[in-house]
Amino acid sequence: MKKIPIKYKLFLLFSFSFIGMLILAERTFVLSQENISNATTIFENARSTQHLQENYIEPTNALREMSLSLVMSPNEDYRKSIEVDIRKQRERLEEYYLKLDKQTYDFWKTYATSVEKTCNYLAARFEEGAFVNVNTTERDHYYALLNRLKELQHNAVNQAEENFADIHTSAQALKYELAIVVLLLSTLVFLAGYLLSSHIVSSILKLQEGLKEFFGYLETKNRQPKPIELNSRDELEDMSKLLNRSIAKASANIEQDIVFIEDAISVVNDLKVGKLSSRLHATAQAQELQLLKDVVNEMIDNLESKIHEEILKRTEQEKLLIQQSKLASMGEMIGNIAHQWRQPLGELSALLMNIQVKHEFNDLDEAYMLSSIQQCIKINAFMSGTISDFQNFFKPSKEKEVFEISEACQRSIAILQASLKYHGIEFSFDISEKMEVLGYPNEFAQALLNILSNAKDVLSEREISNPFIRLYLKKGYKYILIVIEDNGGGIAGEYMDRIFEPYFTTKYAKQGTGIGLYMTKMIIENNMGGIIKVKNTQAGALFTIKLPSVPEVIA
Amino acid sequence: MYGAEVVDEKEIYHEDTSASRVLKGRDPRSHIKVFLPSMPYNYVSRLVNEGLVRLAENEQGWEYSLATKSTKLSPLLYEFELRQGVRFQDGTPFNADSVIHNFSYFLKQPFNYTNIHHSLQRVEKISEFKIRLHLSQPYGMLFRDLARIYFYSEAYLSSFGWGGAETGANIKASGPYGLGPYILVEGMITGREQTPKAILKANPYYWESEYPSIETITFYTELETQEALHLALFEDGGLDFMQIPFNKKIETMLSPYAKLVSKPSSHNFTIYFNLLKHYSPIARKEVRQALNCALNQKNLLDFTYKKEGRLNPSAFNANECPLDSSVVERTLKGLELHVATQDSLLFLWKGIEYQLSMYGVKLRYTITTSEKEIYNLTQKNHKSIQDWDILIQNTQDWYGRHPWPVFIRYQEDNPWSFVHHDAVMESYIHQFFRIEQEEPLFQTLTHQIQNRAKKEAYMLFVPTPNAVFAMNKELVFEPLGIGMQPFWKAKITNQHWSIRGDTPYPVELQTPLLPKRLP
Repeated sequence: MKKIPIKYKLFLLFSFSFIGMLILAERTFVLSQENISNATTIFENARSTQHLQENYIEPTNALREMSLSLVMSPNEDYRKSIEVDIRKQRERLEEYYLKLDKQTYDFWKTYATSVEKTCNYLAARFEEGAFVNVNTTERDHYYALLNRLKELQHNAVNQAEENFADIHTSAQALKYELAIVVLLLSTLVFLAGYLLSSHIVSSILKLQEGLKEFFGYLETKNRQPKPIELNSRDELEDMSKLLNRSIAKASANIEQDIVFIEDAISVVNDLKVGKLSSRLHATAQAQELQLLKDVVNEMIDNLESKIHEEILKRTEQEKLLIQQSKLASMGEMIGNIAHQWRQPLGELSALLMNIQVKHEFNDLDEAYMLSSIQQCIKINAFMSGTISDFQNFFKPSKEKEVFEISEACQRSIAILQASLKYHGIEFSFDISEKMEVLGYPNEFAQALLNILSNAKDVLSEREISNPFIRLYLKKGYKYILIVIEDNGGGIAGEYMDRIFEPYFTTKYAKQGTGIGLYMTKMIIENNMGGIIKVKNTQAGALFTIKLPSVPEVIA
Repeated sequence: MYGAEVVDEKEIYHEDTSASRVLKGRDPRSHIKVFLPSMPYNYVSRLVNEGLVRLAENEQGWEYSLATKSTKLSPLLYEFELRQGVRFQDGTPFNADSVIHNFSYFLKQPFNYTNIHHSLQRVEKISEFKIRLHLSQPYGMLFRDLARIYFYSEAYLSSFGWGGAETGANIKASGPYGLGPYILVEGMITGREQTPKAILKANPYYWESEYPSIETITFYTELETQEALHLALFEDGGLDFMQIPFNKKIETMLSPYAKLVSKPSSHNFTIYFNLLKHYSPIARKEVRQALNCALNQKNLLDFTYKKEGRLNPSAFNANECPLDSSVVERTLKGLELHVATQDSLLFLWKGIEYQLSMYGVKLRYTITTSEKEIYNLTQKNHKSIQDWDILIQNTQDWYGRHPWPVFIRYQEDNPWSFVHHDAVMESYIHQFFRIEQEEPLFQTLTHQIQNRAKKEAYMLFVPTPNAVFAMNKELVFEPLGIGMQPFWKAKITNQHWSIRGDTPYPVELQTPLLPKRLP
């Protein structure tokens, strides 16, 4: 059997429909033409009726009304004008009635004569005769004429009725004709459409089934799809063959790709556990997968290399940082020592000068000498104590211990006191009662020193008038709150989130390391289980350190 | 009736050919029935009685009757020659003695509606058939009054005397008492009193031997108008002669039995104001003038009279009203008047009422079918003031083309007048009595009296009506437009119901006749 493409099948179906539409249109057009013709006739009938009404019935009524008025008129003056009107009306009507059939004209003539008779009676002053005539003979003739005119109107209306009936009948007939044509054509088109569509749909369903099986296979990989068996001898059959070939090929590729993907998963799992040496070795059918394999392998190579580099870099950086931090701490410590030593050194110098002067003026006696030596020893002892204090301060605590928090604070203050005084910064420390926490007292003192030291630097840098730093402690039910507040203008909004990050500093590069507050946060939160927060007040910054109180910690 | 052949109809009106078919002589079966609701006593008395002269439609208004000649010997002395061979209805002879005898009764109790009772002094017998009348003052209305001074047989006079009734008629009983062409054989009629029906029979002794031509006349006096019309127009032998309301002309013309006859008359509708009712608004001249002003005479004539009449010179013309229109409106607004009328004149009242209603005047009516009740209401008003404000009489011209039937209403102390304390009018009428109709001053005085009455608005003036009659098609005579109908000259044809008996009236004669309009 010769192959018939779907295109031709559909063309055949549309052709049927189109021919049906043409037939319907042709029949409708014929009916429309007939109806227009009949409606035109009805319109002409209506116009004829109107013509009779306007040009015959109404003027005749007017003539009758004039005649009656003439008879009713009380005197000659009225009558004269009405008689003129009657004459004109009769002449006008005579002209019109001549256009009608003889029978109607005869009726008119008879009526006109009786009107004339009424006029003649009145002219002869026979008013009673005129009255009787107008109400008997003239009236009869008037009604006879009127009936004749009505008959003509009836004829026109009857004609219109007949035409209307014709329209009605032909409309009915065409309705049935159209119904039959529509039914036949619909049936034919429906059958053809049904056969064609069921043929196509059946093929499509088979294709769908085959594809469903194939996609099912794609999802589950359980069972190899069967080939689609289609003998529709059209494009669908071609499509099914094509699909079968594609499915077979795709199935083979999928199998190969599955192996590849399993290999990829294994590599990824290796990466998860840090086995950066693992690589993809399976070969994928899909070119993209193959490309992916190369990319992944290359990426893993790069990753391995980068991680290695980064570790090295970070190690170096950390070393450097620690060194820097140490140097910085040392610098600061030296600075602080310098401040601490400034006064005793001065005293020493004065003592020595006094000794020198006394010696030059030979006023140096032993007592004085001994007294001065004693003083120098004292001063030296103080300065030595200072060094010890600094050494102890920076000595890391060995392990956690319960300590009085105000003592730790006092130690930090002691380190910084001279510097604060030097910079004219008002410092207040408010402590109401004894508070103990569990942790590392030296680290805590260092952490606090970082905050105080930063505050001091800001106040001096920004040259704040009437600078102050306030430190006060509050004891809650579970926590102890250490608050450090200054009027240094606060932290810029954009830095607020980053202030505790490592290597973040607002100071010039040579002044700050960016490690102080990071270390503070590490000490408070990681080592001592507390929380540190910062916010701006109206005048400056406010740091809050929240540490679990001892009973809480022990509990 | 579609397609009906309409043929040119023949003329439905025919000429009256009855005159060519009249009976010769007097058939004993001949009989006519007459209904004259207004002043029937006048019509009857002029058929039953006669005087020296009788009213006539001629220049002077009268003709000789029982006198054959008269001579005015001086302004105070008249001589009459009497007709010879005349006999009373009972067969007794008539001569100068009869005249002297009757006048002797008359002078004892004369009628008082003219001035004869003040003017006639005595009657003198000159010979068997010649007499003289002596007057105490010149009297211009002498012959008109003589036409109403009838002569009665001794039998009547001895029984009833000369009544002197306000109506003048003197027929207090039936019987062969007079000299007229007919004898009253049943009923009586004086105007103040009457039977509903009076039957007259031909006088076999009547001095005009060719008359009367009809043996019997039945006079109805009190039929209802509708009933009378029905009898005259639609019943064969129902009624032969009657005066019809103007709005019944068409029916009369189309009637199978009657024909329409119209004649200008000197009748009038006398519409009295009750001048004696001093508490009525009508006693005020302004109200009476306003009422006269409110009437549109032309419209009354055209619509109410159906053009059967003519304008009355006594009525105000459109521009004659002495009152401003605003005064007329103010005067008439809310006026309510009591009208007494006969039912036959209601048609006129509907016309008047319509016009007066435009001014807010309301009328309430006392309606009667009998003229004698109207007369009673008039006469009793002199003795005790009656409730009516306006009263109408259908006055037939009983004086024969003479203004007296109108002027009688203006004479002080006249039983038919309510005018009082009008010296001007009194002097006019005093002069009027003395002047004969032929004198030039007569017209002048007539106008003066008319104008005085118009100015004082003594009456509600309306147009003068035509006399319009329904007359049996087979009755032949020429009716008059005065208060007298010469039935003794009337004839009938062989198709008259009284002659035909049970034979139906021929259909061809039942077709309408052209109306007869007498000059």
